[in-house]
Amino acid sequence: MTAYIIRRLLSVIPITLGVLLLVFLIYRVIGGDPAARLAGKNATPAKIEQIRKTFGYDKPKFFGFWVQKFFRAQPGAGLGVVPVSGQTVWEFCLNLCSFRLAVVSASGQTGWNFKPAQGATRLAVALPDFDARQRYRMEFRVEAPQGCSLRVLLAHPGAKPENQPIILEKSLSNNARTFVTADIAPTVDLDAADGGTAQVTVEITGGEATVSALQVWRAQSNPFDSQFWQIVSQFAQLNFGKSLQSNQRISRMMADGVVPSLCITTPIFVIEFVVAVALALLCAYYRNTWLDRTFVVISIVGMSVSGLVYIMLGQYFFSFELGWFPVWGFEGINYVLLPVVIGVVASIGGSLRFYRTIMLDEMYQDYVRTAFAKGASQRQVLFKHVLKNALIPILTNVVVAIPFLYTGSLMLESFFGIPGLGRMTVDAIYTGDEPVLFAMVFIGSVVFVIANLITDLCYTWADPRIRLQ
Amino acid sequence: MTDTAANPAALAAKPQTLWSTAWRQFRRNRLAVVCLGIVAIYVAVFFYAESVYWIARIRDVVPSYKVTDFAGRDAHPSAAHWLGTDFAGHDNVAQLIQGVRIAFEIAILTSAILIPLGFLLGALAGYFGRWVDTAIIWLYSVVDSVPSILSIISISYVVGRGMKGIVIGMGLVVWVGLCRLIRGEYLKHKQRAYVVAARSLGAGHLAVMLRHIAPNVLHIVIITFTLTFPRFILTEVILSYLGVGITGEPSWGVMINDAKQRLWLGVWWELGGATAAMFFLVLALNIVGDALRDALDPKLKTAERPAA
Repeated sequence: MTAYIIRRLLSVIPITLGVLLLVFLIYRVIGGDPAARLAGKNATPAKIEQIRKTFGYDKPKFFGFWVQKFFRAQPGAGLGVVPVSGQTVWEFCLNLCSFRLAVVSASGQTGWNFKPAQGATRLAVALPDFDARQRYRMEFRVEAPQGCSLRVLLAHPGAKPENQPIILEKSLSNNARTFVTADIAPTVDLDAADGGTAQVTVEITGGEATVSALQVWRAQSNPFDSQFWQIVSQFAQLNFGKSLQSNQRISRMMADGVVPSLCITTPIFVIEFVVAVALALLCAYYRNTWLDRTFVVISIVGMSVSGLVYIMLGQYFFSFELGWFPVWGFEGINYVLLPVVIGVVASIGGSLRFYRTIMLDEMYQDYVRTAFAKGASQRQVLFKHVLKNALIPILTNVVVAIPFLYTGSLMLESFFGIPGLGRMTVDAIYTGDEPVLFAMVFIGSVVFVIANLITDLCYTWADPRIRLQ
Repeated sequence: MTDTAANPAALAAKPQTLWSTAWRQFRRNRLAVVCLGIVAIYVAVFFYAESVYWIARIRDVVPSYKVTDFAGRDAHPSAAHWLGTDFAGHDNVAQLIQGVRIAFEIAILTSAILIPLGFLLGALAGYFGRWVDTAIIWLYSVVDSVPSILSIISISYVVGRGMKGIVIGMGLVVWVGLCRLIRGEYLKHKQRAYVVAARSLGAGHLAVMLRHIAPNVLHIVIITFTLTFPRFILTEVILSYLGVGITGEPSWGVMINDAKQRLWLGVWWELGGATAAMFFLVLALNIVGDALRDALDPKLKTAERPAA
């Protein structure tokens, strides 16, 4: 028994980590670049880069020795660089440049064309916030005719332009695309100032060439300095970050939202439970009669209407047409009544059917037959035997519903203007407030995991059969 | 003609399959047969709507249900437009018919993700047991720990609004129920005599899993499809309300949301039409699904608490 409880308690850890991993995968991996999503459709690369830096999206996702860096390709410094087509903005930060270059060139080619000018063509790449003590890596693809040669030169911040050490020299032997990796070793030279802008020049001699898919990386010594572990450590300290929209702390917003949510969901939960169990007992008592069948039909009919329709019609008739309840707000008891009634009506069908199935399952058990055989009355069997045994699945269902008390009802709260967690979530979806969504989904799941844990512990207490396992 | 009961050869000539007994059982439930008829009507409407959509697309013209008529917008029900017109003069009945198409497309595409995923993982977990089982149980416990509506919303939001987001969102979340059921069945079946016989005759694991056991658990897939279909329809409405639903096409969720504002002006038929169209399909599917389950596998427990 104790061993079981300990085992059950420990099992919460992998599940919680798994939930965090899942939510992380949803928000940071499945949907592509989160920074681009937050910045909106027509955001400049500089803005995306800024978001990426603020939220740490430039770090490796789980594990890695390299951090992707921001850079600019500059027009003035690159002698002989000709943009492929009539682009106007010349300052690109090219973190995902294979993508962005494709946008730039209208001719369908990716990359810049280098027209031969005075023997050599150069492309200048500026690296802001350059830290000379770190290792950098630059990767790109070159397409050039036979006989071309390539050099990569580096100018540290503050160094004179003519003082450029060559960090890579290569002859391009064939016409195919060549993948080039240039490593910039750290320097201990104290003159190379920290924090300035370094300039890397790609120089190609001997022909017209195209450079594409350019990326710059900076080495990091701690490979676990990544997005996922950052979130793990933050969430472990109950720090969920700040809302993008209101700039409030998310933990604070959640604390504020819990009470209004509970005001709506607790009455719904309790009323629905009592009514549904009572009706289910009634159905079990009069099983296979017209009364039972009527309730079954009503509950299936009730389940088949969208919750949204209940809310819309209820609000329209009772608040607007009849004026019995306020339409919007959260200022007193009468603001809560209508949402509660609608919530109960919308969800009672499913619950009734569920509890009825449980009761009827029990009705056909052997012990019920025995009870009838020894002469127990219908009522005695129902209340003394069946209800007691049905309590276990009922308990599961009840505890599993508890997280919904917390997350509140998304629809109800946003229709009736109740400032709870449900409305907070809906608003976050509308405004694209991802940190809030991330935290809401995660916390909702954690509450669920804990509720499940409590159910299982209650089982061992309520059902002696489980203790034996 | 001789009596079949007296003639064993005649009995042997007509074996009773699971499906034929199930069909006899199903037929006895008259309400379910009526509902099956309703579903059949919806399927016919689905094919009609699909043909309207594709003919317009192949001819490269604006389909009839999308032709705007701002002069006749917000019309009341009349002989020409049985349920009136919407804010851009689209006929509401034509839109409802297209809603059938969207609902079926969502259900079919989502099931195309959900069924292989749930079936395969469930089969692997149940058949191989040990660490495979542990890993898959962990996976579905994790997915199941996130309140399903929140995870569906999150995935749809991240993937982007439209059919793709809805389908991926629901497909990647709803497979858990099927996976559980299939896992339980494989656990049961792998100890049966026919599996042991197949193994001892030299059948490989894959062959046993897919050729021998799979046909015996396939009915669960059909039951699950019928019983999750209503869930897809109802979830689509919520997603549309949250602004991560279908765009550019008239789905029921979109219609209900569009009708939201006009309801306050007393325009009830638009909302009523969409609700009714949805209601009959969901109701029929629920009843058919229950009857199918009772006929095919009475002991199967699919009762799940409906998400808020």
